[in-house]
Amino acid sequence: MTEFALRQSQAEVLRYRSGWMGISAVPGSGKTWTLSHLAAKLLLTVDLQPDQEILVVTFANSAVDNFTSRIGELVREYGLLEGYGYRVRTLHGLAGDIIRERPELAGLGNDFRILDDEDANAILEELSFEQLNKHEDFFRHLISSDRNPKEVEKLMRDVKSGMPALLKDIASSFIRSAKNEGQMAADLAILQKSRPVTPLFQICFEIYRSYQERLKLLGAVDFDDLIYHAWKCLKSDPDLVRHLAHRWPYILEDEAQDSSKQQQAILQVLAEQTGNWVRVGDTNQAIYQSFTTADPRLLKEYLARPDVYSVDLPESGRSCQKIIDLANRLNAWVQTSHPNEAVRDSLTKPFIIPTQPGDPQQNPPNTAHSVELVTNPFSSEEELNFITRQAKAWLENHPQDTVAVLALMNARVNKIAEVLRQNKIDYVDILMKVPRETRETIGSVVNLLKLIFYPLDQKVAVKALQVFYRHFRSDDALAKVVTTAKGWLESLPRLEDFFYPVEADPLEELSYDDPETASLLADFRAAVLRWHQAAYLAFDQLMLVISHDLPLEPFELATVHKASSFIKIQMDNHPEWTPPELIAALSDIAKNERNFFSVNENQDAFNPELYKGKVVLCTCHKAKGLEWDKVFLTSVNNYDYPSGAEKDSYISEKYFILDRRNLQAEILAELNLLISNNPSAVVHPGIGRLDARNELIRDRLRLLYVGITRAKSSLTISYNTGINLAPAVAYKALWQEEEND
Amino acid sequence: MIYNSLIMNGILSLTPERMQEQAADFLAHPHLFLSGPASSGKTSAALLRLHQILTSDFNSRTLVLVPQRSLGEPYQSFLRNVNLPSSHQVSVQTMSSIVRRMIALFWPLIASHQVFRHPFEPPRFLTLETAQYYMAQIADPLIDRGHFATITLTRNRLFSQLLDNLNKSAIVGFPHTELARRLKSAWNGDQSQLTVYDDVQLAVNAFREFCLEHNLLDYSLQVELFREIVWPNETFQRYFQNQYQHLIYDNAEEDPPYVHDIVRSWIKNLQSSLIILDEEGGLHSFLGADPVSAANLVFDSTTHIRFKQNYVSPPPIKALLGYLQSSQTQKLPHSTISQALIITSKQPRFFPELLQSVSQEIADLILNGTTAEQIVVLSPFLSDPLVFELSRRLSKAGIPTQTLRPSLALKSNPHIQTILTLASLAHPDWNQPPDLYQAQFALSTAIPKLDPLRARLILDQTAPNKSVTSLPPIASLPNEVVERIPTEVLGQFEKLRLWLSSVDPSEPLDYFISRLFSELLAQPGYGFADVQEAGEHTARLIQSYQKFKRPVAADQGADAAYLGREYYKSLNQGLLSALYLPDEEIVGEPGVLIAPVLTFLMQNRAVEHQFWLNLGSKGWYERLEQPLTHPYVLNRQWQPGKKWTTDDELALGRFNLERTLIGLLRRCRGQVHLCTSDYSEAGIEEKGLLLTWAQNLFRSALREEESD
Repeated sequence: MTEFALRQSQAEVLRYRSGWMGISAVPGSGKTWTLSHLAAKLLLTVDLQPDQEILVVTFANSAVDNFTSRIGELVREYGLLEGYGYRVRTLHGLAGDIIRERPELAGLGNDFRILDDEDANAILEELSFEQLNKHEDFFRHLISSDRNPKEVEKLMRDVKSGMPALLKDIASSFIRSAKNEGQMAADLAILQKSRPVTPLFQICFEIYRSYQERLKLLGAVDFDDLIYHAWKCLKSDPDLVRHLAHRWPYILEDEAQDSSKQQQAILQVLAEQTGNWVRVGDTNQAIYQSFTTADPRLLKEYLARPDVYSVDLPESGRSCQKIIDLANRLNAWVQTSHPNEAVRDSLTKPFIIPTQPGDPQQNPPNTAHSVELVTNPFSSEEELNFITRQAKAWLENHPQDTVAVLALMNARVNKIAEVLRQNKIDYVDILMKVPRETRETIGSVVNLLKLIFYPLDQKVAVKALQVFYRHFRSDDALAKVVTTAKGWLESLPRLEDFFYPVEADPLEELSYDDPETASLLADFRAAVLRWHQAAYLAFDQLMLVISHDLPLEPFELATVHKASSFIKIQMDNHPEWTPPELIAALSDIAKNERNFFSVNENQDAFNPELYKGKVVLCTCHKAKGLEWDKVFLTSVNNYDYPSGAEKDSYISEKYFILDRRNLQAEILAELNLLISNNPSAVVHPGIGRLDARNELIRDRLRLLYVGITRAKSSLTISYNTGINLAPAVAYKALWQEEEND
Repeated sequence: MIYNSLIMNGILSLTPERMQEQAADFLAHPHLFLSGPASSGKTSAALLRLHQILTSDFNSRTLVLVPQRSLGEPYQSFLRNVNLPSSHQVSVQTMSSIVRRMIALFWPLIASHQVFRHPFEPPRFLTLETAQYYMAQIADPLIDRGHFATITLTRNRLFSQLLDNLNKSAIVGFPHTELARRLKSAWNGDQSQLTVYDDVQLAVNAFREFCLEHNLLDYSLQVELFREIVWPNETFQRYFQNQYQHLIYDNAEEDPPYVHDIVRSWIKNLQSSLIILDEEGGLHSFLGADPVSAANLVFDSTTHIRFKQNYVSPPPIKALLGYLQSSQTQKLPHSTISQALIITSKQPRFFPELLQSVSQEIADLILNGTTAEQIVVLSPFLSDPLVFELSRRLSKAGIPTQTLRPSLALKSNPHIQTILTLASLAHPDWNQPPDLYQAQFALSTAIPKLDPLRARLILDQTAPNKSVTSLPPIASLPNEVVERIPTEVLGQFEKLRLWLSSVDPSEPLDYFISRLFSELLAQPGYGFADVQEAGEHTARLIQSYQKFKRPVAADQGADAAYLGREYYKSLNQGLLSALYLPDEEIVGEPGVLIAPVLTFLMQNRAVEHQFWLNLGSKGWYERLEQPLTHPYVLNRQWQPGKKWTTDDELALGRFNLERTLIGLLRRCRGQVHLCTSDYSEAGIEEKGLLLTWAQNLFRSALREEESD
C-alpha cells in the first residue's frame, strides 16, 4: 500500500483500530479509496478468527462491486486470500443475510422471495386502481374545481400522471414510512382504534393491507420488508445479535447519509456489541430524503455524539479551484444567508479544500472559462439551443475530454437528448436502467423466443436469423453471407417449406448455387427444430436451451441465467401468464422499460472515461459519484430548485388537486401523529405541507451542490424561465456574489 | 461416544473380514447390533448373514426393513442375483408400507374401536399429495378469515407444514392436540408470533376431525392407528409373528422413533435380528429420523459389533477425515490437503463459466481413464439450469449423465403435457382450456408430421383469444390453409379431433387416458407409437390419477367429471406433485451422476471423484426453515420447556456440515474437486460455512508451512 501518498486526514482514518468513528467527506475526497484501505489494513492487523469478517456496507450494487474488487486487490498485495475475511453488502443485502440466519423469526421459510421495485409497483398500481374505483366520488371531489369535466375524466384514468399515479405514489410512501417506523398493517389496525382517521388514510391503509396479503400469497417480501424483518429478528433475539456481532467485529459503512432510521438501527444494534463502527458520509450529498426514508440528520447526530471520534476528509483533487470556490460559496451562503431560515441546515461543513502539492491527485488548473454562470433569462427552447451550441463547440475543441449535461428531471434530459439528436451530436444517455450489453443479450434471446411462439411470422424469422448470427457482424465476408441468407428467407413464400419441407427441400436447390448460404441456413434451421422440440419446457428453461445454441461471452451467458431466474419469478408471480406476456416482460428489459440487475463486466457502474468525445446526458441524481471534465448544469430555476418564496411551486403539490394540497405530505403527517400517539394534534388539510416543502428545498439545494461538484475543469450553469419561472434563489445569489467579486 | 463403551474388546482384534463373518453368523449372534461409519462393510456383512439364513433355515421368512425403498436396493439386487431355492422367503419393505398393508388387513379391528364416524365403510388412504388436497379445503377458509397473518408462505408450503406437524406427532408419539403447546414452549422470538401456533392447532384439529368423519387416513393417522390399535392387538401379534422369523433392519438411524419402538418390542419374538446403524447418519433428521432412538436399540440386542475400518478412502482423504473427527485440532500438511481437495486454479467470475470448467475437468478425467460412473457432481440443491447446462455440456463431449433428483412435476414431461392438453380439449366442461402454445405443442407431439408451424396454421383459425376451446373441423378450414398441409396429415388431425369430440364426459379420466393412448396416440402415424418412454409416462399419469381418485371418489358428488376436473386443476395449481417425495427419480443412462448432496449420501455408494458445486451456499448445512413446525422441537430428544435459540441453530448447522463432510469423504475413493465462482448460481457472492471452512483449511496449512 502506498502509504507515502496518504493525506493527513486519510492517514488519521487509517490509524483507526477500534471504537466508533465518523468521517465527513467532501465530494472527490476518495471515500471508497479510504474505506477500502481501512478494510484491508484491519484485515492485516487485527487477529480475526476464522469465522469472523470485516463487514463493509454500502448503498448501491455498483458500489459493492467496486469495494469488493478494490479490497481484493489490496489483500492480494498483502499476500492474503482474496474473498476471505470480509464481506461487502448493500444494506438490503445485509438485511437478507441477517434474515437468512433464522427466517422463522420473521415468519418466513428459507425460500422466501424478494420482490423487486417494479413488481411491487405493479401490485400497488393494481390495488390503487381498485381503491380509486371503489371510492370514485371521494377522489373526484379532491380534484380542483377549475378543471372541466373532460379533464376530470382524463385525470381519473391517467395512470401515468393523473389520480391513479398520485394514489399509487401516496400509498407507496405511506407503506414505506410505516415500515420504516416498524408498523406493519396489523399494527396500524390496532393504532387506528385509538383515533379516527381521514378517508384517504383509510384507503392507504386498505392498500397496505391488501399489498401485504398479496406478498404473503407469493411467499415474498419487498425491499422495505427486508429491512423491517432484519430489524425485527435482531430486536427479538439477543443471541442472534451476539452471534452476528461476533461474526462482524468491524462494521465499515459507506454513504451513511443515505441510511434510514431502521437501517441505522440494524447496524447500531450490532455495533453496540462490537464497539467498532466506522461511518463515512457526506450529508451535503444526501439527495434522497424527499422521496425515500433516507435521513441525513441521523448521520449528523452520530457525528455529534461524544463517544464518536469524528474526522473530516476535506481535501479533494477533483475540481479546479474556481469550481471548489463556487461549491463552498453555495455551502456558506445556504448556512448563513438563505432567505428561508428553516433550510439553512441543508449544507454543512466541511468546506472543500484543494489537495496539497505532492498529492497524487492534483486539482486541475483554473482557466478563464472554469466557471460560467449564465444569467440570460432563456426560454426553454433557447436554453436547449444554447446547450447544443456550447456542447458542440466543447466537443470540437476538447475531443479527449469528458462532458456531461445535467438536469434535474428525466423529462428535461429527454428533451435535451432530442435536440442533440436533431443536431447530430453524439451522446449517451445514462437514464437507462440496464446497461446496453445486458439489453442486447436479452434482446437476442427475445428475438429467438419469438420465433418459437410466432412461428409463422416472416419478419420474426428474419430477425431471428440475424440475431442467431450476430457474431458474424465483425467479419465482412460472413456478414455478407448472412445478408444473402436474410434476403433468401425474406423471399420465401411460406416459412413451413423451409423449416419442415414436405416435398423438395428448398435448401437442396440453394446448395448447388450457393453452398455457403445454404449451409448457414441449414444450421439455423437445425437449431430452431431443436427449440421446437424443447417447447414443452418451462419458459425459463427454454431460454437456457436457446442460449446454449448461441456463441455467448461468459458474462452474456450469466446474463441469460439471471434473466431466466427473473422470468421464473415472473412465472411464479403471474401463473396465468402465457409466453407472449413473458416475452413482453423480457422485451421491457431489452427496451429499457424495466429494471433488471445485470451481470455486466462492470456491474451497473457507469464509467464516464469510456465516453470521451460524446455528451453524457443524465439527471443530477444519477450523476452522484461521477465526474466529468466539463459539466453543463441546466434548468436551475425556481421550479426545480425552490426556496420557499411565495411564487415557488412544488412537485408534490399537484396542479389538479383542490387548493394544491400535498396529499402525500398530509398522509405521512397523519401517519406520524397516529404512531406518536399525540392526542392533542389535529389532522387538517395542509398539515405536513410546510415540512414537505422544506424537505424538498433541502434536497434540491444539495442536488445543486452535487451538480456543481461533478465538474473537474469547467462548469456552465444556466436556467430557463419555462412558464413564468425565475432563476433559483441560490443560483442568483451565486452569480450576484460573483458579480460583486 | 456411547458406542465406545459398548465395543466388544475381544472383537476389535479381529481382521475386518473376520468381523464380517462374525456378524453374518446368526446362530452365534442371534440378536446383533452392528454399527459403524459409512463404507465400513456393514451392508456386506448383512448380505452375508442373509445368505447364511437362506442357506440354513429353509422354512423361515426374513424381513429386510429399510427406511426408504432405495436403501433396499442392495438386498433386492442380491436376491435377484443369488440362485437360492428359498430366496422368495425374503421381503424387503419399509415400515410405512407394512403399516398401510396391515391397516387395510385389520380394518375391522380398527372399526370396532369406534374411532371413525363411519367405521363400517372402507378406509380411504391418502398419499402426501391427496392429504395436501384435503388440507387445502380445511386451511384455505382459515387463511381467508385472517389466520396465519404473521407468516409469509405460499399456500402449498403452508399446507405441507401443517401436515408435517401431524406426522411429527404421530411418529414421535405424542397427541396431536399438544402441537401448539410444544411449539410455543420452544419459541424464543417475538411474542406476537405465538398466535400462529394456535392457528396451527386449529387447522390440524379440524383436519383430523375431517379425516375421522370421512374415513380418510393420512400418514399420521395410519401411524397412530397402527401403533395404538393394531400393533398391541393379540390377534395381530399372532399373525405377524408367523409372518417373519428373521429381521435385518438396515439404516435404522434414518427411521423415526415409532419404528424403533415397534422393532424393540418385536425382537424378543424373533429367531434372529440384525440391526444396522450408520454412526454418522441421521441425515433425514429433518423428516423425523431419530438416530439416538435407533442407537438405543443396542440395549435390546445380545451382541454389539462395531466396524471401524474404512475400506474406501485413500490416505489423504483418511487424513482429512481424521482431522474432522479430531474436532479439527490436528495439523494437516498443505500437500495432504491439496491431494484430497482440488481447487480450480483460476476461480471464474460467473457460475456458467464454472460449469464450463467443471465439464472440461470431467472430460479430462475420462480421457485419462476414469469411468463416468466414478464421477459425481454434487450441489445442495439441483436447479433446472444447473442440470440442463451441465448435462448438455457433457453430452456434447460424448459423456453420459444421470440425474438423481426428487420426482419432477408431472407437467414437465412432454408426453404427459400432451395428454393433459388433449384431455382438457376433450373436456370442455372442465372449463380449463389450454392456451394456443400448449395446443400447438400437443398437436405436433401427437401427430409428428404436423409440425409446429402447420399446427399453428390450423389453430390460428380457432383461437383468437389465445385459449383453444375446441379444434376446428377440417371442412371449416379455408383453402389457403388446407393446401399448405399434406392430406395425410389433415386426415390424422381430423381423426384426432373426432376422437376427442366423441369423448363421453362421464368417462373416468384413467379410462380416457388409457384409450387415448391405445386407440390413438400409440397407433402408427401418431406420436407415441414406438416411443417406449411415452408408454411409461402415460402409465405414470394414470397411476397418479388413480392415487388421487381413490380417496376423493368417495366424496359427495364426486362423479368422473368432477374427479377429472379437480385432478387437472390440482395439477395446474401445483397442489399435486409439489411435495417432497422421498423416493428420488433417476433420469438418464448410467454415467456421471448429478445429484443433490443428501440424495447422493442416501445412495450409500462411493466414487472416485466428487465435484462440489455452490460451496458458498448455506444449503450444505442449514435446515429447512418452517415457521409453522419444527423438526427438532417436535422430537423425542427435545427437552420439554427448552427454548430453541440461535445457538441451537448454529450448533445444528455446524453439526450438519461436519456430518455431511464426513459422509461425503467416506464415500470418496479419490479426490474432491472444490468448485467455486465469484458469483454463485444465484448471481450473488455467497459466503457459507463450507466455503469459509475450506478457505481456512488451506490458509492455516499455508501459514503453518510458511512458519516452518
